[in-house]
Amino acid sequence: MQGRFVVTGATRGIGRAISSRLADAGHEVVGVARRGDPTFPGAVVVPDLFVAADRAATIAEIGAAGPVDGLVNNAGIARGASLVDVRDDELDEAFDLNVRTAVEFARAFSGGMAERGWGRIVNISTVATVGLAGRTTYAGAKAALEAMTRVWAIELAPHGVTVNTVSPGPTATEMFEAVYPPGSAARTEVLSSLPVGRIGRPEEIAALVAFVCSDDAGYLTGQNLRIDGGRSLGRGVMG
Amino acid sequence: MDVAFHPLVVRVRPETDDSATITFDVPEHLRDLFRHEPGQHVVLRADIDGEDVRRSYSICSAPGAPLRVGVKRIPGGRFSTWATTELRDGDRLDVLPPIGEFVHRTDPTRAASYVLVAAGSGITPILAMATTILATEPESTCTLVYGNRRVASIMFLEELEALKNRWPDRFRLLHVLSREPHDIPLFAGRIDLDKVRMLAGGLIDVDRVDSWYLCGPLGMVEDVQAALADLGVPAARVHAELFYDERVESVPEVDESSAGSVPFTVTIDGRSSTLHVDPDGPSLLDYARTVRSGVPFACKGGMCATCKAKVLCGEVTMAKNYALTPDEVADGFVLTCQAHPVAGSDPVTVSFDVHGGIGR
Repeated sequence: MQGRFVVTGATRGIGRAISSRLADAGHEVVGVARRGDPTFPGAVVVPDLFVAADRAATIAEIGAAGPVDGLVNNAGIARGASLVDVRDDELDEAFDLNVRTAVEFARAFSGGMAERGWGRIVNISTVATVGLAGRTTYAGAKAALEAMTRVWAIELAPHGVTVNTVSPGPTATEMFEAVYPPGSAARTEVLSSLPVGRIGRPEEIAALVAFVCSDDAGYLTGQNLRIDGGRSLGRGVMG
Repeated sequence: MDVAFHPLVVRVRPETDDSATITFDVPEHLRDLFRHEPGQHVVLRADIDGEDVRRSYSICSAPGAPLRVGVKRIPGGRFSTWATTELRDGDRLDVLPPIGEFVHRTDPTRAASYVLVAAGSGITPILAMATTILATEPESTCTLVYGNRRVASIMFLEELEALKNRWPDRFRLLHVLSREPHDIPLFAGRIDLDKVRMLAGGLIDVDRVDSWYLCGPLGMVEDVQAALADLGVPAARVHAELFYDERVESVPEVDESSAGSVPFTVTIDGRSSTLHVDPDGPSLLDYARTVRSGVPFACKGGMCATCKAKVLCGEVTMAKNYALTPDEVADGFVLTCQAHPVAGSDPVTVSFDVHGGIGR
């Protein structure tokens, strides 16, 4: 099945790699992003996803242009703050983008998928939901998304639509490379948390998402696939 | 010292509507040569419509990360317009190895408090410094005061947010916007004397700041320096750089007190100007720029040969020369950024109009 896939947060980092990979697999890709990208393999819509009216207009525009067979809810925001410093507006922001946007896109497009008897929804979460200091709003919002994945999976399974979560660990996007320069103490610290001893590549995350979106993955639904170099595994010492 | 230009493959990414980042693919055998300190810059050279155009750009990535510069498009700016609209992924651009003395030398054992102040594209070296401090000095903290016209024109907004989200307890990011309404007066307007006084009276404990790094246009840098001096901050703690802007070139450090005893005549575009210069004072390039616009220069480090000119009369010496061949020197060419009259020299005449090939 080659279909029309919507990817949010599509022009940067992991979202960009997912978009390229889906396009390579023969899908038509519609990107939703904060900024355009002249080299994007498909059309790009540029809304402000924090604005409800913008989200509604984007959904209407994409829906009017044709049926949607797949959705990758990748757009996200990770504000760092210790619990005592969590701000109300940042809590709202986290849930607006990580949760509300995903719900609205899935609600709008899942009906068509179910009617046509085939569909794929992939929610991108994070290894931070296993617990990571400073990530109250981000991990909280993404954990909500993980729970909704299982709910939607049950509701949509009879209609040929699978719903899964893909949870990447540290990934060497351009942003990651800029913030954690090779050789720095900060990067060494990240590496020491990864049993595989290296940072993941965006293409590796994209390859997993592409598989989850393929016909071969029709028996896989409601799962949280952690692709994190072993970061989420227990690391206690013997004692 | 190898100071030849190296043709490096580029990757171009839009940053804001009028700016882009250029990332260079530095091959393995050039890695040591292109290793940089945060704050340094590179000279880029391109052939634009048959003309050899050279510009300095600060490196905005931390050491270890891919070499990257930020280019803001200046209306009428030849290089910046070309680089942000014509340059494509996979093209090659000639690059000189990193140079510059405006650097932060990182020390992982240090527990320091830094304040970085940037305006507009002055953010580029400051971003490299902030990233380096946060990623390599776990005990140090950093405050960035960053001035822009409006939110849409802020370069590296997402990257700065990513730094803040990674190190919320060690990095403070204060945006000052001159053309966007803001409820809090502190964050509206320009970074000037009053702004620094307001910050010093509240968010920044000036006495506990170990180092200040400033980069922006002349007015901002001078204002912040003056305000800090008023507040009793020793000058040794304040490090500043003016950014090169294709439209408004940085103003050289030449004033009335720089006038000297040697008559100096500079010819450019067929017209001559004369002033008196001090052999122990600024370079002939800096003197020339006080009386004439359009004097060519880029690296100011004796490396790129953009400021090459011919000495027609008088005796001139160069502090450094990494760019001219012995033949060129024998023919009377000098790098004006490194050139000073020899004490007691006859009147000096230098022409930018005589060409004999550029550098090597």
